[in-house]
Parts: sequence; C-alpha cells; structure tokens
Amino acid sequence: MVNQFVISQVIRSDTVDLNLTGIKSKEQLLDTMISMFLKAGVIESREKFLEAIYEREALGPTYMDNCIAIPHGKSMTVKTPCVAFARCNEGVFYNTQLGGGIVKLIFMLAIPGEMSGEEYIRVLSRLARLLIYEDFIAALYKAETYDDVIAAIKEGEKNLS
Amino acid sequence: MKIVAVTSCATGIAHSYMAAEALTKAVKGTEDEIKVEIQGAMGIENRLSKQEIADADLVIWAVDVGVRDKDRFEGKNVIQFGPYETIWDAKKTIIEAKEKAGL
Repeated sequence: MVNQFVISQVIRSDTVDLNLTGIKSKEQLLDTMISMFLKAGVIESREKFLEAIYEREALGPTYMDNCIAIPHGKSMTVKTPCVAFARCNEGVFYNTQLGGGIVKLIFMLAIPGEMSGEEYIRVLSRLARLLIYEDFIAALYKAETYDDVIAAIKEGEKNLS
Repeated sequence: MKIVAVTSCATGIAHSYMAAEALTKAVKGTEDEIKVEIQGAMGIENRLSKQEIADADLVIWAVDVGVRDKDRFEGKNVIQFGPYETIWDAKKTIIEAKEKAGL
C-alpha cells in the first residue's frame, strides 16, 4: 500500500520532466503539467482538473518565491494522489494576485476529491517544509534523472519531523 | 533559550508550514529550543499551551493575519514579523527578535 503522505512515493517517473522548454506562459506551463497527469492516468478529465487548479489559484498565490511554485487541485477527476515535478531552466513568469515571479521548479499536486482536508494538508505541508532546505533545492537543480529526483526527495524527507 | 512562535499566512497554508520549518531548522544545532504553532485553514496545529507561552524567553509571531486565541500571550513581549521574510531567512528573524526583545 502506498503511503499517501510520503512525497517520494506519489511522484512517478511519468510525471517528472527535468527539461521543460519552450514554455511561454503560466497557462501553458499548467497545461503541460496537467497533460502529464492525463497521460499517466492520474486524472480522467483535463478540463475538470484545470478548473480545480484555477479555483485554488484564485484563493491566493501558489508561487513560493525562490523560483518555486506549487499549484494544486483537489477534484473527483483525480483517481490517485500524485505529484508532478517539472524543471524549466529558462524560467517562466508565474503571475499571481500579488505579482508573482519567475519559476523554474514546479510541483503540481493532484488530490483525489474524497481525500479529507486533513490528509490534503499533510501532503501539502510535507512538500512545503521540504522547500526551505537549500540542499534539497540544489539537488533538484542538479538532478539528471527521475531517480536523482526521488533520491533528493527521500533525503529531504529525512529532515522532516 | 526557550522560544515559542506562531506562524500564519493570509495567502495559504503552505507558507505557514514553510515558516514553521524554517524557524525549527534555524535553531537546530544551537542552544535555543523552539516550539512553533501553525495557524491555518484546518485549525491550529502544534498548539502552544498557556504554560509553554508563560515559560518562554522569547515569543515570535511570523504572521500577516490576526493570531487566534491571542489572550494566551497576554503580558508577553511579542516580536512580530511577516511570514515571507521568516521563510527565507529565519536565522535573521531569530537574531532580530532577540535584539528587539533586549535578550
């Protein structure tokens, strides 16, 4: 049984892209990442999930400074909890109500509609906590393969209480 | 030194957790100890008791919204910061808080 709270267990090889290029806008970025979920069978409907992502975006910025964004959506169209990770070395402007900024590391969370608020927060909080560790961020920039990403997350998760 | 802190952010729960982790990480390996309460959409996590607050040498709020159950902090010298500055430089937050508190 997959432990739903451990990020390294819900990030899949087909939901990681370490060389995202040619992305010109936040919309295109979100769309591209949603496509990863669709191809991986994590979500059934692109439209429904996109709607959930934008509902969350409307509540407040998911841009976290330091070139990081964590868009997330909770929807019945999500079949299994999953995290997608994309690295976009050239950077994309991620606009938010507060202005936003350039992002290079993007984690997108797909949360099943039936997951409780508490579980949802646990997943989100684990990821958020990871993001303040410089070593973890450096490892994400250095990663060349999916396995490198998983190794970085596992190492980072050891720091968490 | 015994430190207690509250983190809360108007724009989302993730920032509150990041600020809490940053503060916890900042005291690691030092002589300070810290307990951080997170106030978010789902309620209060890691709640500080009246006694813990009373026993603290230093009280830090890293918040940009009102703190819930404020009366617990009555009589304490609270040093306040924004959550964002704390996330990316919590060591500085703690140093500044100590200076402001005259410790």
